[in-house]
This record gives sequence, C-alpha cells and structure tokens, in this order.
Amino acid sequence: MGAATETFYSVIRRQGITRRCFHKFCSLTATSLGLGPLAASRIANALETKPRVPVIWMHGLECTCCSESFIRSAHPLVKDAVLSMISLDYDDTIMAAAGHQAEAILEETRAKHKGQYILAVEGNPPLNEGGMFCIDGGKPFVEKLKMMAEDAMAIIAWGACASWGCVQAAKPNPTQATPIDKVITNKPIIKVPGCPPIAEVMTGVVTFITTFGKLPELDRQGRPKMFYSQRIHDKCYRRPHFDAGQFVEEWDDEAARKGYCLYKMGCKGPTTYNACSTVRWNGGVSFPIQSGHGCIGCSEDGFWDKGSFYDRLTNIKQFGIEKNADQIGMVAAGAVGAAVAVHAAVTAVKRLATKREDADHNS
Amino acid sequence: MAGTRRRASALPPPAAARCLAGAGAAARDHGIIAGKWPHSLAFQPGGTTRAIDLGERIRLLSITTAFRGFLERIVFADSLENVLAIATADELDGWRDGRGGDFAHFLRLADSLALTGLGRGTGPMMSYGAYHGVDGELFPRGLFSQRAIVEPLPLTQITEDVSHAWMRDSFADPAHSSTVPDPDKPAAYSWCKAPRLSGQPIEVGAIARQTVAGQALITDLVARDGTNVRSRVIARLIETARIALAMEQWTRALRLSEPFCDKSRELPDGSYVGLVEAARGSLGHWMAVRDGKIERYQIIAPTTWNFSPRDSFDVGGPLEQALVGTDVGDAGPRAVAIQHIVRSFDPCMACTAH
Amino acid sequence: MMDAVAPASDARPDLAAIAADASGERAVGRPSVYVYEAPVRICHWVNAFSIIVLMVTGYLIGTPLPTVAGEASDNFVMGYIRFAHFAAGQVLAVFFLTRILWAFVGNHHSRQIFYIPFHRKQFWKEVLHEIRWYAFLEREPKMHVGHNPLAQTAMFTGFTLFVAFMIVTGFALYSEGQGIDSWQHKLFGWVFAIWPNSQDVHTWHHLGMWALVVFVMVHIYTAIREDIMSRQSIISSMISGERQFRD
Repeated sequence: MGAATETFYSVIRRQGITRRCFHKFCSLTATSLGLGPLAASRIANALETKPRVPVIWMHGLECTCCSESFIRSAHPLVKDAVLSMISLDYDDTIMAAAGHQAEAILEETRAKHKGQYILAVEGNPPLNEGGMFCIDGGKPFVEKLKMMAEDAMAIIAWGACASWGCVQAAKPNPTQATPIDKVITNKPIIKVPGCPPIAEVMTGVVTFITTFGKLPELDRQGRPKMFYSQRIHDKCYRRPHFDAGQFVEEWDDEAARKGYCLYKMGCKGPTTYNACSTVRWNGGVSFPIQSGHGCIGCSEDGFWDKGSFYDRLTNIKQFGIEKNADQIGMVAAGAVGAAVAVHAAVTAVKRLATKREDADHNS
Repeated sequence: MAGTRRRASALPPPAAARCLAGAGAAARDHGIIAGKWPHSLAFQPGGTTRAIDLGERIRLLSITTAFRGFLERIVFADSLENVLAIATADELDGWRDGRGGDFAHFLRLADSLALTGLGRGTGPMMSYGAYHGVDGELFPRGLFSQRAIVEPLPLTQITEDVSHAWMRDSFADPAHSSTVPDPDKPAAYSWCKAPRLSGQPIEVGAIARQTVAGQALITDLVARDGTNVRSRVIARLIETARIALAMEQWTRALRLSEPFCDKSRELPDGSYVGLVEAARGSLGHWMAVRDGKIERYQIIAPTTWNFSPRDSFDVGGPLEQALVGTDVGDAGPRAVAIQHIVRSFDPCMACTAH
Repeated sequence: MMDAVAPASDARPDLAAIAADASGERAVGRPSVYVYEAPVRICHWVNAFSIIVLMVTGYLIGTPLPTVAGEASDNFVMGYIRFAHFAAGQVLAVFFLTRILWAFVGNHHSRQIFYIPFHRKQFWKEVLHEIRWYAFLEREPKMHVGHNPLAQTAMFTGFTLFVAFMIVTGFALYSEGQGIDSWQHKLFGWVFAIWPNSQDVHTWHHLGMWALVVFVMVHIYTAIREDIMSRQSIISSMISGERQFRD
C-alpha cells in the first residue's frame, strides 16, 4: 500500500494530533469554505474514510509565483493541506527527487491511480514550433501535460497562466502559449486565476476537492463560485469613497493618505473577480488596494493586453489602433460634427442659390 | 517504488513545515508594505504608493519581532546578536556544540557529510550593493577578487558570452546585446548565457555579498576553504540574521509624515542601467528608452552568473567549476552530492532559461 | 409606381402620388397623414430623455468629477450619478421593450425601425436616391410618409441595434453588482462568454455611447434639415403625430 491510500485522519493521528483538534480543523475548514455547520461532519467523515488524493503538480511556462503563494497559506495551514490532506507525489520545483527518479513517479502514478489523481498545472504549454519553448525532462511540456491529463480525475489550472495565458500569452505571444482548457478538452478543469491566486483560495480549492471528491461549483468561466463570484469592488473597504466621489488623483497625495478610492488611478477592481478584498493576502494583512495601488485585474482574461494598468479606459486594439473608447468616440463625434456643419453650410448656400434662380426665373 | 516515493515526496515534515510557517509570517511584513506578495504592485518609479501610518508601523514591528523570535527559537536557538558575534570558524564550532535549532543541526550534518569539501569555488565574487541608506549601504558594492581582497567593481566590464549557449551571436555589452534562441547551434549545451566580468566568471549570492561586506565569519570561512556547500548555506543564514535586525531598525526609522513617492515619473530618452542585489545575487537590468517607450531590455539574473556555461576560452561558470571532480557514488549520501552542490547556489529552479 | 417620383419643378404632381413610404405604399390622398401614434411618440421622447441622461451620467462614470471634500458619509456623488444611470437605463429598457411590443400592435409605420427590407431592390434604389439627395446630386427630395429608406436604414442600425446592444451590455454590467444569482445575470451573463474580461464589456459599452452620440447628432441634424428642405414636417410630427406636406 502506498502512502496515497492512507486517509488524512490516520496520517494526522500518527503525527500526534488529537481527535478533538481534528474536529476543530474540520469546522474551521467548513467555515473557510463558506459551508454550513453540517458540512463539518461531512468533511470529518470524508477525511476519516477516504484515501488521500494523489496530486501531480506540473510546471509549464510560469514564474512559480503560484507555488510561492501556495506555500505561504495561513489557513488551512499549508502543511496540513500539502502534507496531510493530499498526497503530493510530484512537484518538479519543490520535490527532493530529480532526474529519472522524478520522472518515474509520473508513470507510477498514472498506472496505479488511473482516473483518481488530480493534475494541478501551474503555467501553460507553448504550442509554437512543436512546443519547443518549454522542454521539461527532455520532452515538450505539452506532451507531458497531455500524457498526465489522459488518466487524471480532474485538472486544476493554477493561476492566470494556466487559466487564461497571462504574460507569456500577451500579444504578440511569440511562443503561442495556450491556456490549459484550450489544450485539454476532455477533462473537468477548474480555473483558479490570479497572478498568483491567493494562498487561502488555493488551499480552499484543494480542501474542497479532497474532502468531497468532486470539483466545487463553478461559474460560467470555470472558476469556483465560492471565491470568484464577486468583484474586488463589491467588497472593497474603499467603496464608500467611490460612492461619495472621493478619488486619489496622484500617488502619495492627501487623498492617497486618507485612503480614497483608486478608480482614477486605473483600479480594475470594478471588473475583477477575485477574493482579494475579503480573504486578503499574506495571512489576511492586506491586499493591493490597501497598499494604495489599484487592482490590475490579474485574475482576468488577457489583463496584460488592456493598455496601461493606470488607466480606467483601456485600449481597443481590434482595428489596429491603440486608442481608448473616449479617444475614438471623440474623434468620431468631432468628425461627424464637422461633416454636419459643412453639410449644413452647403445646404444653406445651395438653397440660397436655388431661391435666387427661382426668383430670376419668375421675374 | 515506495523508496522512490518517500524520497520524492515534496516537503517532508516537520522542519519544512515549521520553516514555511516562519517564512509565511515574514511575508506578512511584505503584505503590509506592498499589499501582496508575490508580485507586489505598490512599487512605483520614485517610491511606493503605500503611506504607512502609525498603527501599521506597530504591526510591522510586531511582525518583525515575531520573525526574529522564529529565527531565535527555531533556526538559531540563540539571540541574533550572539549569532552575529561569531567571528571565526573555530568560534562557530564552539557555538555549535550542544546547541539545538536548525542551524546547529545543519552544522553537525555538514560535518558528517563533509559538505565543506563539496562544491568548492575559488573564483572571484561580486556584489552590486544593497539596502542603500542615508549613511551608505548595508551591503556595499564591490568585487572580491582572485587576490582575496575587496576591490571596486568595474561595472563597464560586464559582458555576455554566447559561445556555448543556444543563443545567436550578438554584442558582448548587455546594453546592446540581444537574446535570440538558436536551438541548432552545434557547440552549445545550455540556454544560459555566460556573463563575465573583465572576462572572468563570477560567483554571486549571499556568500558573495557577505564576503564583499567583510562579514567576519564568512570572510574567515572563505579564507579557509573558499566557497562550498557548507559556507554558502551558512552565509544565507548569517545574512538572514543581519537583515532581520536591520528590518527592525528600518521600521523604527520610518518617518511617517514624509512623502513616500517622488512623483516626477518621467523617463527621458536614453540608456539606463539598474544594478541591485536580489535574494539570489546580483541582478542587472539594461534598458533603452525612446519616445517614452522601452526600446530594448536586457537582464542578467543571479542564476545566470552562477549557472553560466563555458565561454569562448572554455572557462566554465561557478557551478560548473564547483561540480568538477565531484565524487558521484550510486548509494548513500554521495548519490545526492550533485543536488547538494546545485542547490547550494540557491538557483532559481523554475526559470533558468534566461 | 416609384418611377412616378422626382418630378420636374414645373410639373406640380399630386401629393398623394409621390408621398410613398419606404414600403412602397401609397399615402392617403391628403396633405396631412397620421403617422406616429401616441405610444410611438411617448416612447420616442422618453427614450430620447433617457439616452441623454445615460450619456451624461455614463461619461461621468467613466471619467468621474473632481474629488469632493469632506467625509465620505456626507457625500454620495458617484452614488447619485450611478443611480441616475441605472434608473435611466431601466426606463430605456422598459420603453424600448414597449416600443417593440407596439410594433406588433401599432400601424405599419411603427414597424419601420425594426427591419430593413434587404430583399427589395426598389428599397436600395431609394436609399441610393436619398444618398444622392444628401450629396446634393438630386435637386428635389422625395416625399415619404414614414421614414425615408435611408432614414429607415439609419434608424435600424443607429438606433435599434445600438440601443439593443447598449441595453444588453448595460444589463450584463449591472448584473455584476447584482451577483451571479440575479435574474440580470441569468438573462445577460452570456455576454461574458463573448468577453470573459468584463473590462472589455465596459470598453464596448463605452464605445457604444459614442456611437449613439454620433447617431443623435446625425438624427437631429437631418430632422431639422428635412423639416426645412423636404417639404414635409418632421419635428412637429413627433409631437402631434401628423405628417404635413407642404408646397
């Protein structure tokens, strides 16, 4: 029996954790996932009886910020999640194994836990030139991804890279970096976007999947509803200043010190779905808006290609021009206004001429 | 296969778990100052968007104090002042005996695994300098040369060599060079360029910084055995202790009513060089701006210095030189000797394809 | 029958013979025709007023006024502006819908702005004629009881399609605040399947505003111009409902 067939409960009991502590953990987890009190006993039951879920964590084109975020989760303490709830069998960046020894785990997991393991993907595969822009273990990453996806139960797409493409997929996207759901189409995929996602959101998703053995409820875009159903703006603590019409106009001005709304500094909070303003970051101490900087919408599709982070009106690139809606609109309205004026003038002249002609004709 | 699995499983408890908790706690400091970590947004050209207020300073202080507590209880099992007072290798051996904590444990482990003899480096080291304050830098800029003295850093002598990298030939000067892949280049064996200072490979990282800064213990260790797996790890830990103390001072020194951002954000056309010490070593950015837009950008990251392949004179980089002659057995601790050496350089594992 | 138009200035034709609307029907033989029924007129002016409010408040949401002083609890500037925008948007939606319903109930003129008779060659000939008239290539305009064919095309695209687009994207954006369980999101959330990043929806909604600004400018100008130039009442028709033919 491998470690993966042990239950979470037996692992933590071996580590000397009491049953009482275990139940406390279950209720805390239920609360953090926004589930009712009944869920706590369901979680406890699941953790006592179900074998731990094997997880394969792969890295494509990425910067490892998702991993960095994940290992700093404050609650559920990441050690609980990583070390006990799941059986993290493979993670190229943080595992001790290397080389052939490490690659052997992939085959082993595939054979032994067919259809039962979770494939967590950080980053995305580049498809250009046969995937040569991301070689992992001597093979294009896209091949490795497809191979492991084949027998996975479900796929977690960590971060903006795996979910949407992020910076490497920004125009002109020379490597043709492609989000996971465009490459793997026959498996359930849960998107956990963000650059990186919030640690507690990541562990929350892992907790849900491992305890209930299924993906949490997803929204239209494949994101877990429990963390991505509201905008930053909806729960922003600076929202009263927005409604009042009080804005920061410049970095470090009086309004900035007073904590006014950052809308005019290009804050994308009103269009960004994430839990930053509720869960917050780094153990809940803060989030970008609290640090006086607007949200850049890092959990949204194509956020690198929307012009400046510091403008509210983002650029339109569809017509080969890089202008925002106001610039286009004002030019169009100006041109039409001018055309109307000229047309009116010509009309008036013509009319006068006709009248004179008529008058001449009649006289 | 069970053995493979046990060895391969990520983050074995419990030391890693304790360490993660400590590092997570330290990241809360960063959270308060910069909103979020990783990928903080608060930094702007000319300062930060974050105006720290009185209450936040208290929180920062409590976090830095808690971090210090983590270091003193878990990592060093002694006060940071005592740790930093250790000036020689002999004093370190004396301090270690009978002490708990991860550091002393590592020192004992290093002796039993003979890590001093592993991954020897004797080449020059450099530091771009870090933590600039009103009275100078905490870690000064300089070059620890082959003659074992600290000299001024000849910044104009930084070049990039691509003779063994899968990169197309271009200028040697990073202000003009380009990074264009050439996967079919015959002599190449690495995606890493070979940066050189005055034609020499340079080791960078905590050990380089502390040697250039003249930290007593590290200078002594380097004088005895050069850089090696053990001294590189010691340098990282000693540096952590120094920075933890400095953080407390910086937090107390914050003048809350002063501006946090110089708002003149304009960047006139021209060429720019930014040199800083990042956690893993010397990081340089070379940039040209035209019409208010970035025209070209070139980065030499710390891992590129350490992982550099051979140059046109067939001289390998610091890691390569450190690996030469390593005894690789197929059982016991020697089996992982290569991993010890590679990891002692604190590489950026996921993105060495710079 | 359409070839009976464009009379020479010396031959005074029968008004009824030339006053044909775009559907090619002959108007009733009297100099005044009842065109715009009361619901059409009410919808027109309510929509016009809503659109003006929506444009002004919409612009101010995109580019807010300078910061107001005082405590946040003393002010609600953005709140009022957004309220006005949402209220006007709901009113526009209701009256736009009413207008659509009326198209089924009302006279045939009330259906004119909801379609373009693509398949009819004659229609396009007429459009061409109108373009020539506006380009000063025709000496005399034709008379039309309802919209002239060019106007019908402009009304369909410039008003009906654009306003529908604005209502759909507007409600989609509004649903973001109402939450994903709201009826607005159930009805209009599919917009985010087209543009996953709602920033894009904002951008297109904003651009739609400018398209309507252009439409309004052209609409008002041509209405006034035709009122003067084309021997039929335009502006007063939208108040009284009667179209009067002069000369």
